This record gives sequence, C-alpha cells and structure tokens, in this order.
Amino acid sequence: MSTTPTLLRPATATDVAGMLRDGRAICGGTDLLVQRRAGAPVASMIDLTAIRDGVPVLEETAAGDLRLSALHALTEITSALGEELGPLREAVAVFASTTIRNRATLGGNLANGSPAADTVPPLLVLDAVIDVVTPDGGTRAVPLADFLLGPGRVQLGEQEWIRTVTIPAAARGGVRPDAGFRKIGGRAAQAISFLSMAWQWRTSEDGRLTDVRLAMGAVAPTVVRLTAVERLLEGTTPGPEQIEAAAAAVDQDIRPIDDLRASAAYRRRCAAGLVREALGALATRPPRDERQHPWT
Amino acid sequence: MTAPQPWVGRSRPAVDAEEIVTGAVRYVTDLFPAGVLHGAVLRSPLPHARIDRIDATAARALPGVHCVLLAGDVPVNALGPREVDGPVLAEDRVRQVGEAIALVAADDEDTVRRALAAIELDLTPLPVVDSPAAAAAPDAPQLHPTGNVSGRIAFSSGDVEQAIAPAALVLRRDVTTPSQEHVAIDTPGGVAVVETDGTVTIWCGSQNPGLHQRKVARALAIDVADVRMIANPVGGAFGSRNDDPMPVYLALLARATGRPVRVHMTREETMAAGAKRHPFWTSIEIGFDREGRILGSSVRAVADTGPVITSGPNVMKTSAEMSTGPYRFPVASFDGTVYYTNNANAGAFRGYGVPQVAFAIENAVTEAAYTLGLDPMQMRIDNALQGGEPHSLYRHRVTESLAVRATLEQAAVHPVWTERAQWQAQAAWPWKRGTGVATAIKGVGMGSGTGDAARARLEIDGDGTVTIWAGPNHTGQSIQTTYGQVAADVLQIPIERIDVRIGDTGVVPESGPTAASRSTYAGGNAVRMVCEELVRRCSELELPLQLDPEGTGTKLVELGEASFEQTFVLPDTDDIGLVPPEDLAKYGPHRVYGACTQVVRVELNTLTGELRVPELVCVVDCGTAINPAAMIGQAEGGILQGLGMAIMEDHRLEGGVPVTTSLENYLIPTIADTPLMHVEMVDSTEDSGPFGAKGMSEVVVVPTPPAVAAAVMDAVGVLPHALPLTPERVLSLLEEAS
Amino acid sequence: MRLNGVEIGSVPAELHGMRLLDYLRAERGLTGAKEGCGMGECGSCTVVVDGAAVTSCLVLVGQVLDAEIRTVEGLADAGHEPLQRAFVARQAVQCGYCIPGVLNSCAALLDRVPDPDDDQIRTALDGNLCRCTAYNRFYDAVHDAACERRTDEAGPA
Repeated sequence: MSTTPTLLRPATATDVAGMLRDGRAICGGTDLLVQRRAGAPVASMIDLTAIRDGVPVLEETAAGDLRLSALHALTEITSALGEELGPLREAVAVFASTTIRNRATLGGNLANGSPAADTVPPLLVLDAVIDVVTPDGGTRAVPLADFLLGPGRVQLGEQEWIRTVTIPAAARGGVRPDAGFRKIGGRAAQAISFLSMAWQWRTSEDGRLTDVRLAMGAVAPTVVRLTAVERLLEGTTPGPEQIEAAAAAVDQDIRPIDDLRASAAYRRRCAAGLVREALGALATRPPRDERQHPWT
Repeated sequence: MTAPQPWVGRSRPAVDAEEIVTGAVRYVTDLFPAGVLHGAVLRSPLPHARIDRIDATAARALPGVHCVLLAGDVPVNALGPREVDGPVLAEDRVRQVGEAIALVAADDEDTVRRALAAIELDLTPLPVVDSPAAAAAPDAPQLHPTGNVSGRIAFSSGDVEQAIAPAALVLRRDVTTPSQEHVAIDTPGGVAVVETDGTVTIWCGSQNPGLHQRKVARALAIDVADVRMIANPVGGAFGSRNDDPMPVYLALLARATGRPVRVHMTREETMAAGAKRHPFWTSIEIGFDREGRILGSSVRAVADTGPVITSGPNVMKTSAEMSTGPYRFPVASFDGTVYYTNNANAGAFRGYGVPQVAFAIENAVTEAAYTLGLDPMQMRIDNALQGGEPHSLYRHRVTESLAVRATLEQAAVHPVWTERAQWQAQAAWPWKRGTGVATAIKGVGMGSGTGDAARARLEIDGDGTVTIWAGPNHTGQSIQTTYGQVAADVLQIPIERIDVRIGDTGVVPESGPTAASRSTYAGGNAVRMVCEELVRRCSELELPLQLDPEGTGTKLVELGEASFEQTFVLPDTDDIGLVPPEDLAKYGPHRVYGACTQVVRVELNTLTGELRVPELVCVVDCGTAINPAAMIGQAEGGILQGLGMAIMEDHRLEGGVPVTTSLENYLIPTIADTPLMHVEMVDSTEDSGPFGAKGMSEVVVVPTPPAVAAAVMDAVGVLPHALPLTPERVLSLLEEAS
Repeated sequence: MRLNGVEIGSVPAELHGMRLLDYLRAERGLTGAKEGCGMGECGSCTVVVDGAAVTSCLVLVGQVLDAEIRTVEGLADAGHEPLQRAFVARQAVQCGYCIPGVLNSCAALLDRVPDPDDDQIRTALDGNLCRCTAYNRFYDAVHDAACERRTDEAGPA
C-alpha cells in the first residue's frame, strides 16, 4: 500500500475513541507502518503522540504502584526508571535497535500481540496491568495475562486504546531482586526473538529463592508465565537436581511451533537451556557489582 | 615491497568522501531530472507458470500512465546473445518468483502502483524445479530447450584414487553453503534519458558499463555507440551490479515515453528478483599421509543458478580452479555441474565460487589435522603452494609473488593464535571457546586466455591539469583515489593536478568489469602505462613536465599531442600446464593470485547454541597496498560478508518461493556482531602489478567461514558441514558432540 | 517544525500522512537520507528528531510538526563538522550510502554523551547497517570527533 495515508491528530484524549472508528492508532509506528508496507489495509491513522504530553512518562501511585506511559518512546521510559524494573530495562536494552527504541512504545508492543514482543515477558513477570481507555472515556484495568489472547490478538476493542501500564507495588523493589532478560535471535542486535525469557526472584539469607517469576516469549500463542517452573523453584535452594527438574518442567508451559526463524524442537531445547543458564549462573556468579550482562 | 613512493603506500582519504559526509553526493538513485516519470516492474508471484494472458489495456488507460511495456514491445527481447541468457520481459512463461513481466511508467509512484495492479495476468502454475536434484531428475520439467544443465566443467590431472590409495587418512565429506544476498544498501535503480540526438543516457550502477551498454543496445536494437552508461555514484555492489538488467528497463521506458524515467527497486523486490550467490553442494574425497601432506583430492560440486545462465558456468569455472585450495599436491580432479531451477537467479558475488569449494577443502584439512594429531597451522604451512610452483589441478605456473606461506607464518605468531590455549581455558560457563585457522587464494583477473584487458586515456591541458579516464568502475571502493596515487607517482606532479574519471562509457575506454579482484591490478596498470607514455613523450620532446606542468601542457596541446591512451592486457601464466591451449579460456587458469589467512576466535553458548566471534586476525598477501587503509577497509568489509555467510545469512525458498523476503528475516551482521579485527599484510611484490600490487578484495571473504568452522571444532570437537551456523544448527551439533 | 535550524512554515495537511523520508527527499530536496529498506531495518534513512536518532521511513510528517529535525545536510551547522572530517580522515567511508544515517546516529550520541566509550558507540549504531566497511573505523572517527570537540570547548591553552 503506498497511497499517502490520512493522519489524524486528536486534540485531547477524549477525541481518540471516536477517531478510532475511522482509523488505526499509531504511536511510534514501528510495527504498524511495517505491516502497512507489507499490505495491511491501513488508510487512516490516529496519532496518539499528539496527546502524549497529557500522560506522565512514569508516576508512582499512592499505593506504590508504578504507572508507565504506553505512549512514550521506550528510551524515555527506561531513562525515567532509574534502577527500577530490572527485567524491563534489560529487555529494552536489547529491543531492536536504538533508532527503533527511540520511537517504539509499550502500547504498540502490547497492542501488536506478537508472542515475540520483547517487552511482554518482563511485563508479565512484573504482573503488569494494562490500563485500557474505553470508548466512553473510562478505563478498564486488564491483567496482562488476560490481555494476551493469541498470536496478534489482544483484548482491545476497536475504539479502545492503551494509555498506561501499571506495575503493582508487590512486583517492585524492596531489596533489589535478582532479575534479568535474555533473548535468542539470529544476530546480536536488531533481531526478532527466536525465544526470550524474563525472570525475577528474591534470594533469602539462606540461599532460598522466593517470589519466583519467569516468563517466556515466542514459545506459545502468547507470552506465557512458566508456572510449573515457578512452583518447582519457589522456596528451594537450586542445586543441580532442582535445576534439571526446572529445565524439564519448562515443557509444561510452552507450545512452540516451527516457523521461519526456528523449529519447535530447537525452541524446546533452548527454553530448557535458558532456564539452566539463569539458574546455573546463581552458582557460578561473581558478586553483584562485578556482574556484567549475561551476554559478555 | 617496492621502494618508498610519495603516494603509493600512503593511506590517502577517498577523494569523494567529503561530498559523501555532507550529503552532497547524488547517487544514481537520487536523481530527479525535470519532468521525470516514475517506473516500476511487474514481477511474477509464482516460481514457474505459463502466461496464458496478459492484458495491459486497463493499466494503459489510467490517467497519468505513460506506457506499459510487455515482451512484445521490446525490440529484441533478450538479455544476451543466447536463449539461456533469458528475456528482458517474460513472454510465455515465468521461471522464478520476481521475474520481470512488464514495465510501467507514470507521472508518480501511486499511479505506477495502480497501473501495476491493473495489469491483468492469467498464470497457470507449472511444476516447480526447486533444487538441482529436482532439475537432474529424469522427469523434471526442462527449463530450457538445452535442458536443465547450465554448464559443466571437469578436469583431472591424474588418477586420484591411485594417488590416495596409500593414504593414512582419506576423508569423504559433503558440505553445503547457502544462497547469499548482496544487500548493497542502495537497491538497483537509476534514471534514463533519451537525448535530442536519439542516443540514450542511463545513470545506473554497473560493474561492467561496457557490457551493460551492449545489453541495452541489443534490447533496443540500436548501436552501442548510441548508448551511454554513467555507472556511479552507487551504494555498493559486491557482484550484484554485474548481472543487473535495470539499465535495459530504464532505457526501454525512456525510449517508449520520450521522457526521463526513474526506477528504484524496493528492498523486497531486490531480495526476490536480484541475483544471489550460488548455493553449492560440494563433496570432497581427499587423502593425507601420516605427516598431513595431501596426496590427492577429488572434488565434485553442484550449483543452483536459478532459471537463467547469468554467471553460472563462470562461477563453476572459478570453483574448479580453486577446488585445490592454496595447496600443493600431485593429483587432483574436479567435476562441477550447474543446474537451472526455478529458485532465485544466481550470479556474481564477491568470491565467485571460491568460498563454496574452499569450505570443503579447508574443512577437510581442519579435520585431518585434528584426526592425525597435527597442528592445523603447521599442516597448512607444509602443504602451502609456493610462488612459481605448478597449480595442483591444472599444473600451470602460479605467480612468483604468491605468499600463502608467509600469510600463515605471520598469522602463526599473532597472539590470537599463540595464546589460544589460555584464551580457551578462560571460557566461562555456559560458553565454550575455540580458535580456528583457514587460508585461501584467489586469482586476479578473468584468467589466462580470456584476453582480459583494461584501458586508460589521459589528456593534459594548458593549465597543467592531467585528466585520466580509467576503468574498471568504482562501486564504493573509491578506485579513482587509488588510480590517482598511481598516476601521481608515475608523473611525479602534485596529486591535486590529477583528475581521475571513471564509470562513464561516454569518456572511459572499455576496461572490463569491476570483478575478479582486478580493479587495482588491471586498471592501475593501465593508468601506470598511460602516465608512462606521457612521461616518455615529454622526455623525448624535452618538456619539463614536473617543473612546469602548465608550460608542458600548453606545448603538447599546441603540438596536438596532449592525448594518450594505453591498454594493459593482463598477462597469461607463463606455463599453462595440462590445459589444452585451445581450451585455455574455458579453464582460465590465473597467473596472479592474492592470498589470505585468517585466525578466528569463536564463543559458543552450550545451552542455547548462540555463536559469536569476538576477535579475528586476517593476514593478506596483496603485493603492494597502494592505499593501505583502503585495503584494510576492503579486507574488513569482505571478512564481515564472509562472517555473515558463516553464521547468519541464508536466502531461503520453499517450493521456489522465497521465504526470506526482507531485511527483517534476512540478517546481515550489525555493528554488534562485528569482531575486533586485526588486519595485517605480508611483504610481497607482484612484478606484473602496478608498483607491485595485485588484488585482494575477494580472497578476504573466503577463509572466514572455514575458520569459524575450525574454531567450532576446537571448542566442542564437532566440525560443522553446513552453513550458516545458526543457533539451531549449533545446538544440534553440540548435542551430536555429547 | 524546524529543519536544519530553519523554521518551516505550515505543512499542508495532505502531507501529514507522508513519510518524513519522502518529505525530506521529494519536498525539501534533501536527498542525504536514503531508502534502503523502508521498514526501519537498515538505518540509511536515519535523521535526528528532537535529539533522538530515528528512521525517517517510519515517521509520519504529521507527527513531527513541532519537532526539531536535523539531517546530514545540517550537520556542519549543528557543530558536527569535526565528525564529518573525522569520517573522511579515518577512511571510514566507502560507498557512503549508509553514511548520512550513521553520521546522524553518531551526532545524536555526541550531543548526549560528549565522550562516548565503544559500548555506547556500538549501541548508538546498532540500527545502522553497513555492508562495505565492517563498522570498525566508525569508532575511531567518533573518538576523534569527541576529542576535537572537547579541545574546541577547552579553547587555546
């Protein structure tokens, strides 16, 4: 499709719902415009960057939740996060490329519904709630796990749009948890994930893991929590047996397919490998300050 | 090394760099002349189909559409003199996804796209020949009247079976190398104009402007003299602009509309329709004695050239010669067949058949060293072909300057090699480390018996400015900068007085392609010769060229002797060995070769299969480096293309339909994938080269994949035999190893 | 919109849906930004919008009506002549087609981080594909430019 599309700019947030009757929401455009180029019928677009100024990049609620703008570029989000939300920051660090990160948004990455979307595993690990603006201008809060319906399908009505993403206080800080993000792609940057994993847990004084959270992308119709692995690890000190059991348990929560990028068989083996790697690093890891990115 | 010179051997910044960094340069795809129309190509969506009906009536009727050209509208619907060269536009059949069916020109891009969509096309799918094996099958659809074999080259210097009978180790191995996409960042395109005198001027990237001139002249049924190709500035080539039909499309549209016409292919279009590196299936049977000396080798290769001949047999010819690698041994044989298929058309790509067969022989040497318990570096040194020795297949004499051994010996003392054990021991779980070495040679020029030549023309004017028109053309390596350095040192006048022009058939004499690593050697020699002519004439006339260029120029102009032209004919090898003289061009054994040894460090994640290359060494034998930093730039760029082929690049098709369709799913190395590279040169001089230079821009691509494979073997004890080494392939290998 | 330091009056509404890349090349005659892929993968269309390097093939004109936009043609005026000269001197340029995008990514980096290390340079350029040079000279050129700008700021000794 090449005919110059119509770009409509809402003056206020309340204008958006009505406009979405006639067009698709665009923010960073890094997915929508690529899809349009590939033939998706998008004649008219509603530019949500026009109402961006009305949404804080980051705010902390009275309850201690962190609310992230769905409309701001990922680089702005991570600048505002400081030391918070490790898995999300690590995911953004390897998300596509700088030029894409300077435009792409959480809203777009979520609405696109790709099982390979890199911000989704960390958000799922962080129990993110999606703040959807309804056609009447109200908000409905959708837990991310419910928001994701299948490949390219999310719980977002035609005249609805995502304003913010809320991370509940319980998933945040306190003693800085162990957390990370890992993606496997065909090259070191600007690559769509073959699979990806976000994780977060706390380690008690006696070395036991608590509040264990793991999520994996590109291994199922949606990004999934590895609930079997979480149950297995919760409260344990992971030695070689637990690590093997955890690696084996990954299979219970994933349903990978063969696609252009990788086979299901590889995804299964690599998924187990990622869990082994994250857990195995606990045993071999140098002290926190000397720790570098797992990539090095 | 030759004696120190003012300019040769200095790293002179590219003369065109300033206009590049300011954005001032206008590439051929940045030209928008007044009144320009937009053009595009209708391409086949199917890999093999009969065209039952094409109707352009509705398309032609759209307001703003200036022409729709079909096969019948092309005066001579042929891209070359042979049927297997293929048509300009498909007539009754299409034979690959992306094959050109129609050309459209309209006022603007939107109208062009609507016109393309309005062309009515009825296609009946035909059975798809989706591999060389399918092409060879007895009941395969025949893609040409001459059948599905595009070419075959076979040669033997003796009885290999007998030679390897006493071997301590015989390896019989099969390797596969992928179809690779050039990904020049500038996709094909340009502008064509029909001048008031009826001649056609085409601005379009070309690695062989003279050949494109002839292609255009043939298709339009006009005189070659009426076609002018201006082939730069252009954004990269790497082989892709050797076989590109774009100049013909541009000329046809300009002629049909009487207006300037501009075409710029999309990336997706280029990936479907543009030529690729030939994917190869190579088998080797090679015998070694206990000390690791090669006793004999027999290589068979199969290549997929797509539906038209392009460079298929020529690539296989190069593969034949390079199937013995950079090694000296008594008996060799080669048998290579190129097949037509409905896959992507394959053509020239930097390395030109050498990376594919080098992977086979280097892998074999790597494995043999491992099995026999020998040092892989030393084993290569012991087998290395020396300058002046007979080549292992054709037994022809190679240049004295061949310095394979020196590249190996220099690599052998580099810390990346000498400290490989310590480096390996420092691997941190779950990563394993390995270091691998590989080496290669490649011939410079088109080969003996081909009449390969380059020309240069020189004019001096009353201001003492010397203008030189030289070829081959530049495609990004700023060859004109190099030519200027050669000229300055021969003429010994300030380099600022020398203006080198390239790539315009209107003014540059025919000099052959920017290919076969020949630009510096062939073009540089022609420049040297024409400058020497000027110097000689000035000497005869007792004119003080160096002291008074203006006066000298004025005098020569007065005398009508201000113009010179010289031809450099690339010398054949002194001894053609076993090649029958009447077949010399068929086998094209080279006189001059460049060489390259690489040592590559690899890290593998044993849990995920990820592979990364943090560092490597590349030692080049290129004779004199006229512009060392430019040579290093060429080397690094070539290495990275080799690395891409080794670990991530793969143009894939299913049933003849490409499944890699854009830069999202066809991956080339980013800056994050790029290793720390140490590029060095050995001391060597090619006597027949300008100031001792030869060529290196292709040989640097060749060792990287087998060096990566060797490093993998060093890391985990398994040698990969199929490229690219994706994480999935690596994980499978690791599981095989454990 | 300010384009290379110059105020652009109003942009007609019918151009709001146009790609910034096409607006620059066709409407403004600034052909420095190139189309290498049209989908944000190659970076040859990279320009700087409000200080951030972005691929102009994925930006619509209507989204940047109030933005500060810089292209390669405006680099010298934006204080990045040292960067341009360093790329020439370090022979970091071959065919040059990726270079406007590369320069813009480097310029955006230098404006945020006056003395970047190799990791920061690598990250800044991770969306700029180059097929000719293998990127290695880019680091040297950026360091040279950073050094020269530091020296210029410091003034004569």
